[in-house]
Amino acid sequence: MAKIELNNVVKTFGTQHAVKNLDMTIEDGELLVLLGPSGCGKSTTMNMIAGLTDVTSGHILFDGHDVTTLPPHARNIAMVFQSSLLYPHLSARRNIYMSLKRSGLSRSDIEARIAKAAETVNVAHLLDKMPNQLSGGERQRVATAKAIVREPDCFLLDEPLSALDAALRLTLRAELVNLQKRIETTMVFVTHDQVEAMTMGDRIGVMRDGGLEQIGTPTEIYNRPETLFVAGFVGTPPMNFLKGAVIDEAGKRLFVRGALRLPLTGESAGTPPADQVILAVRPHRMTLTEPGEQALPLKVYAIEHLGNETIVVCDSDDHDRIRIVVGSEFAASVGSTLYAGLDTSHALMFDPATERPIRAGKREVA
Amino acid sequence: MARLASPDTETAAKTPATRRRGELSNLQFALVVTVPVLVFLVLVIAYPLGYALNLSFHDIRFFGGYSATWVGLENYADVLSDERFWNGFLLTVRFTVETVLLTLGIGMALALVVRDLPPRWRWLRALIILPWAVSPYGAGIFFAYLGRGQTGVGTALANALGFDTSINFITQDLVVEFLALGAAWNMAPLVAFFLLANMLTTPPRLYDLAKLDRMSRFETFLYVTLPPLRFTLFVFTCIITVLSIKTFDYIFTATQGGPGSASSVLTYVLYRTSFQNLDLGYGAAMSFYLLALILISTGIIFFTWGRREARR
Repeated sequence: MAKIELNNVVKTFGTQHAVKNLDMTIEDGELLVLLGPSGCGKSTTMNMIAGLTDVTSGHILFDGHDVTTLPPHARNIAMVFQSSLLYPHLSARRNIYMSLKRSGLSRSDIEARIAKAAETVNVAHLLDKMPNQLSGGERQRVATAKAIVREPDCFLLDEPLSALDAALRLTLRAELVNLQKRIETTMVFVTHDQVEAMTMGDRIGVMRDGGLEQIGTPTEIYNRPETLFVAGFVGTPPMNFLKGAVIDEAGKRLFVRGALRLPLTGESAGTPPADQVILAVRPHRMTLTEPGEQALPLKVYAIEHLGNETIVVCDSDDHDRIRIVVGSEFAASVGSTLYAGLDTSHALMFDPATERPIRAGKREVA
Repeated sequence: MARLASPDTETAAKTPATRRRGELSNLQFALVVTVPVLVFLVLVIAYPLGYALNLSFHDIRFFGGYSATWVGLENYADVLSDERFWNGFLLTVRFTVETVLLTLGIGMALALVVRDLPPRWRWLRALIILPWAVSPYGAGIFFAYLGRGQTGVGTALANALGFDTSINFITQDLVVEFLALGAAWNMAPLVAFFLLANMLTTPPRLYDLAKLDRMSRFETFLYVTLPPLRFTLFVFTCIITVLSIKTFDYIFTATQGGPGSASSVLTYVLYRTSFQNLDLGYGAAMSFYLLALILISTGIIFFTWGRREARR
């Protein structure tokens, strides 16, 4: 078990900055998910924690010890790679054994550890099979056994579920979380799938262009996104963004966009007047209403029926894509016009220039 | 229900294909594409082979008028007690084993080197194929000059290091090894290319896994690099075995079977017998032993190695 600290870690490939000045602490025993689109530097970050990629500058600390220059095997970590990589020509048992071959343990200790690890992830009956005889889920479990057999301080998982089908992914997601809680080991999980991140992580670190956008619990990330990018990346269907302005009218704040005039309520009521703001609102917080001053005219683009609910995908007057979650019985033809109202008490205001939230009432006095 | 339905759907699927006018049936199409090839094969392989088989049962004489006398298996029996044949046979085996090992070894080393080239130097990958573009005839002349004491690399190196000696590789003891090295130089680039293509299919992450498992360089080679190459290595072992056993032009231009008969491999003995001594019947019988050697050695490789690889 280990607490992992990244201090001002930088990685450059030639002139390209893969990871920029990353500061991050992964608490002992926590499951941290690194989330981001491909190319955001999350895998590079994991490789640096593992010691597979050299750090250009900065330090990596395990429990306060600087491991920046240590080779991978000296860090006592275990890793599960994308599509559950195993040595293809070795049996499951030999694959697991390879993790301990250089451990200096006696043959009988190794046998016992393999048996225990196989028991933990329920692959004892598969040990004599070759990787190509295993199903995707079985391979994943064997790869996990190969990782836990080392009894590492930290598990690093690099998109291990991305190559599996949806149903299996769901099962294995729960298995991994359950396992991590049982053995109480620090785990870093890299994924580009925000649903995976939300469901698995104790905390989520959202990365973009080599930098950390926000780190926090799934609830914080979902309800209090600190950048426009996080707001748009996390949550299905994604958040809606409406460009507009905030004006002051008789002491009340209004969000104005074309003919739309929405009084701001709740937290957003304190938003200082501004010429350009982006109002972000979850599709669940929008409703279909009658035409009027407080309703946004929308053109239906597509309708996605999910069974329990329906997502209406619309184009707004300035061609932003807006999604609204409505009841499952909803029907409309593509191209028809709808009017949507929204609950401003659950809306977030972003400054389009900084892409950061506009804090209610802060700059107003000055 | 399913039973009843399946014949119906089958005929429904077949009808348009078979009934369409002007189209060939499967058998007709098969005949059209294969008959010309079969005729060609009979002309260029079966006929000469049959003719050679016929020759091998005769004693052919050119002096005092052409004559062919039926001698049955006498030629085959004589070959087995011919000292030149056994000398050539052993030299062929020695040359073949050495060439196969050197070619695979050099090919593997080349592939490993060019695989790890930094991006700026990747164009070198294309250059290493060049030795393969040299004909065996040319390679023979080339290695003859390289090996000789008067002109060779050995002497040049010795002089460069300050020794006043001439080093000759074309000697009774070393000539076969030297020729095998030349043959390997000629063929290794092709092996390297195929091995490289195979190596590039190994997921790079497997090397990361090996690092985490603290494998040594040799273990990484053994467990990560080598396994996907085994089938290619098997195929090339077969190909190079056959090519080495039947090598003639290269040895003809390099050493003419010499010095003495130190590099008179089977093909060279055959050439002397059939085309210099004009003992065609005896030569034909000897050539069937050469054919047997090729078939047996590739058979051994297949049954001891190939079947195992095919099963994986």
